[in-house]
Amino acid sequence: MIEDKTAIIDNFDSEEGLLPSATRASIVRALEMGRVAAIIMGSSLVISFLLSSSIGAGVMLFALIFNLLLAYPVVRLYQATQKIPKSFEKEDEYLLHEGFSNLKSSFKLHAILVALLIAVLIIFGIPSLIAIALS
Amino acid sequence: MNEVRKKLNPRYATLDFLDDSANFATILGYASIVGGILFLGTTAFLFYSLPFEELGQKFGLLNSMYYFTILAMLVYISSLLWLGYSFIQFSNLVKKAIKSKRASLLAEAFSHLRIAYICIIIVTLLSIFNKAY
Repeated sequence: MIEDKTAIIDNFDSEEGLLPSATRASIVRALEMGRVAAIIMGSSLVISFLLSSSIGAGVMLFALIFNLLLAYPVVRLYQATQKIPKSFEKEDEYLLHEGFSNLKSSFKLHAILVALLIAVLIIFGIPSLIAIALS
Repeated sequence: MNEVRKKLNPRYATLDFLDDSANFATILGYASIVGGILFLGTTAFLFYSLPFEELGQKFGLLNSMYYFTILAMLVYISSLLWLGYSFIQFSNLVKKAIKSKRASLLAEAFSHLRIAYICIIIVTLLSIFNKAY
C-alpha cells in the first residue's frame, strides 16, 4: 500500500519537481485563504474572551479554557500555511511533510471541536430556543 | 540529519497525512451540514411558531436591525451548508487524486478548500458581529 503511494508521488513529480506548478499554485492559494481565516478566527477568539471578561471571573476562566482549546487548531492551521508554501519554494519534502502534518492535526482538532459544539447545540441550544418560542 | 530524513521518508507520511486530512475533512463537512440544517430547522421553527413582530421583541431586536439579522442568519446558514459541501468535495477529490494519480484533481481539491476557508471567514465574521451586537 505504501509503495503504491510512493509511486503516485513519483508520478506527480516526474517532470516539475515536488508537484506540478498548477497544483502548487492551487495549494498555495488555498493556504493563503487559510491564513486569512486563521487570523480572523484568532481575532474572534480574542474578542469573545474580552467580551466574556466583563461578565465575571467564573465565566472568564471558562472562556479562557474554551478559547485556548479552540485556538490550538487555529495555530496549527497557521503553521501549515507557513510551512507548505515555504516547502515549495525550497523544494524541501521534509517541510512539506511537516506542513501537511500541521494541516491534518488542524482538521482533526476542528472536526472534534465542531462535533462537540453540535452535540452541545442539540442538548442545550435547541430546547432553550423552543422554550423561548413556547413561553 | 540526512540519515534521519531517509529513515523517516517524508513521502510516505505526506501522502498519509493528505489521506487523513481528507478523512477529517469529511467529518468536518458532514458536521457543518448537520449544523446548518439544525440552524435552518430552529430558525424555521421560530418563524413558524411566533408572529413576526413578537419574535423581534423576544430577542430584543430593533425594527431596523430585525431584517438585517434575518439576512445575516440566512447568509450564516447558507455559508455553513456550502462549507460542508466544499469540505466533502475536497475530501472526495483528494481521494480520487491519490487513486487515479492525477495531480490536476489535487489542484481542484485545494480550490474547494479555498472556498471552504472563504465560508469559514464569512461564518466567523458573522459570529463576531453577533457577539458585538
